[in-house]
Amino acid sequence: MDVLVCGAQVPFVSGGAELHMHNIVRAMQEAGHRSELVHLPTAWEKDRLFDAPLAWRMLPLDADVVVATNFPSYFARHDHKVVWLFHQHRGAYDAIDAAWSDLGTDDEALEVQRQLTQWDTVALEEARHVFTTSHVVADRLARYNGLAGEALYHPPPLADELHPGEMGDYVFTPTRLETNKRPDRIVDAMRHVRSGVRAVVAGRGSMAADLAASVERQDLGDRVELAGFVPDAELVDRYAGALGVIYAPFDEDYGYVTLQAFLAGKPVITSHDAGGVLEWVEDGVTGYVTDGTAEGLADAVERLAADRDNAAAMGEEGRRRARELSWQRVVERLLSA
Amino acid sequence: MIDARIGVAVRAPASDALHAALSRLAERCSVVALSDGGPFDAVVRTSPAGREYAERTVLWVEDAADVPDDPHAVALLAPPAVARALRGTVDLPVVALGPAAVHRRARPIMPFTRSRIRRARGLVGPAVARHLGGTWTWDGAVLEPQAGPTAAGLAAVVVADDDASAVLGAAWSAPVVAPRDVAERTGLPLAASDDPEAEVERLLADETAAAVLARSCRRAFELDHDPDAAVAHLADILVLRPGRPWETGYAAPLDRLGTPPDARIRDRAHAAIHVLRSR
Repeated sequence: MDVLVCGAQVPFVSGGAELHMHNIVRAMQEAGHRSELVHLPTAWEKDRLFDAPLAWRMLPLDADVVVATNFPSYFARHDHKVVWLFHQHRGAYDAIDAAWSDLGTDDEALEVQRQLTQWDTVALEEARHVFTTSHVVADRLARYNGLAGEALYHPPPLADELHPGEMGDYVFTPTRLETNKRPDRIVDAMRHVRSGVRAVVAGRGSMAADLAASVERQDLGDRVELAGFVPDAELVDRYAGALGVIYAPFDEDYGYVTLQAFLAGKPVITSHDAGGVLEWVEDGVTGYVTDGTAEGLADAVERLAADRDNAAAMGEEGRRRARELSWQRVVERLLSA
Repeated sequence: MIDARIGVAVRAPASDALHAALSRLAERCSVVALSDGGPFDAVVRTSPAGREYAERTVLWVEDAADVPDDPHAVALLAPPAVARALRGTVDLPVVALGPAAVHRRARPIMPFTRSRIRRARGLVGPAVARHLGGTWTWDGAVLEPQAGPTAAGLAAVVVADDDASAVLGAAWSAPVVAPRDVAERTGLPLAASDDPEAEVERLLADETAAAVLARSCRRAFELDHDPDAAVAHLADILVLRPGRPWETGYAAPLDRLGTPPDARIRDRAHAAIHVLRSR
């Protein structure tokens, strides 16, 4: 079959969503289908919010199947459209009160939000089936649009490379250093850790300078390493040598870090409000679900340090669950809808 | 308007229901007698053609228990009550046409948007609108009759005791709680319980349930009470695309998305077309 994977491209931004789109194309090709990625740029400001959705409506997509992913690619029109929803425009829904959303409660913004809801509903209902990357995304779709979505999980990047290793002396967190990922809580938590376990935080982002200042201000230089950007080979090694992984973002859609940690045989410490992460981290079974405070995260780190056998057992259970994911199963499900 | 040419080949005299359906169709696309000659995007028939034609057949059905077997039919056309009985029992898509359009100014407002509008307007309280015994109330306070649409558009829940108020609520995408007989006549989803006040409490406490019901109500309105949506659905079934996009521009896709006439995106799309046409 000829399969077009459709996705939005915010210029000069490349992250998990972009990687996911390329992985879908590759999985389709490995399953014997012809597959390509169709990208259109998009803009989030309310004055231009509807431009890209309308552009998607006008595209000729000559293929047997179209798999649409994030907003606004699901506005594409095709007789065999399947949606695998990464996310809608969160600034119009669950993140509408966030500082970065420009949709307030003035009349114009209210009408924009209403119209986008209607547009989303029409476009998504056209699909033969709507899958979502997680139950969190499906729950949002139901709560804001009254529509049903089926969670369809997939393997994370580096799934074939990640492997268990020793239960080392550090907890690891690879993440973008942005507000919603809450890396500052990890730094603050280490102030309360007495067992000697260190924290390694890898990644880049707008909070990098503030985190470095916080480490210095709290005299945590011997306990917190800000590793910056880490290439894939080193990432695999860092996962393998960790005691556990701390990943406590706010209301995450899915959470690759969780699954990468599991594939490396490491338990995950997270927060009660981490969203999609909680579909994988089971308290006391595959990690710990904390209250998200610095003290709560620190307590979980100490528990790992105090019982490394249990930490290894939780990591192994996480690995067992994560290894059930497969791209072959994903392709079969998408194309059978 | 849908860019479609529909032929009609029906046995005379046409029933009132068929006449109404064809009138709705003629208001929205070109409807001509088969004898006028093709080509046609589809032909509405009351019985199978008997021999193969090049045109696709849309079969009119007035009795859900008596659906002719026509291998050339791509869709069934029926009065709303019959359409509801047919859906789920036949393999073909079913389009309901008959009554004239109502509530054409209604815009679907989902519960999340409603809550933000109420917040902006300073409307506190449960926000339950009730239409009982011919009177609209808002959290118990009596409203002027002309405030009905506003209440239907902003309430967290609409309790309706008759067909008209139930359909009004559905047009505005309200979560509508109605008695069983009203729901069955109008095609609206049946409430989870026969106790309307218990259902109201359940919906007020569960925003997801309210959103699902709101969408179901609006969908029922689009299926059975909105001839614009019904004809657009027929156009989708017939896979009709704008035949002259250089003339119609973005109008058809914008209409299909339910875009209001005064939406800014229409101006932006018009400006884009104008730039492309400029010399």
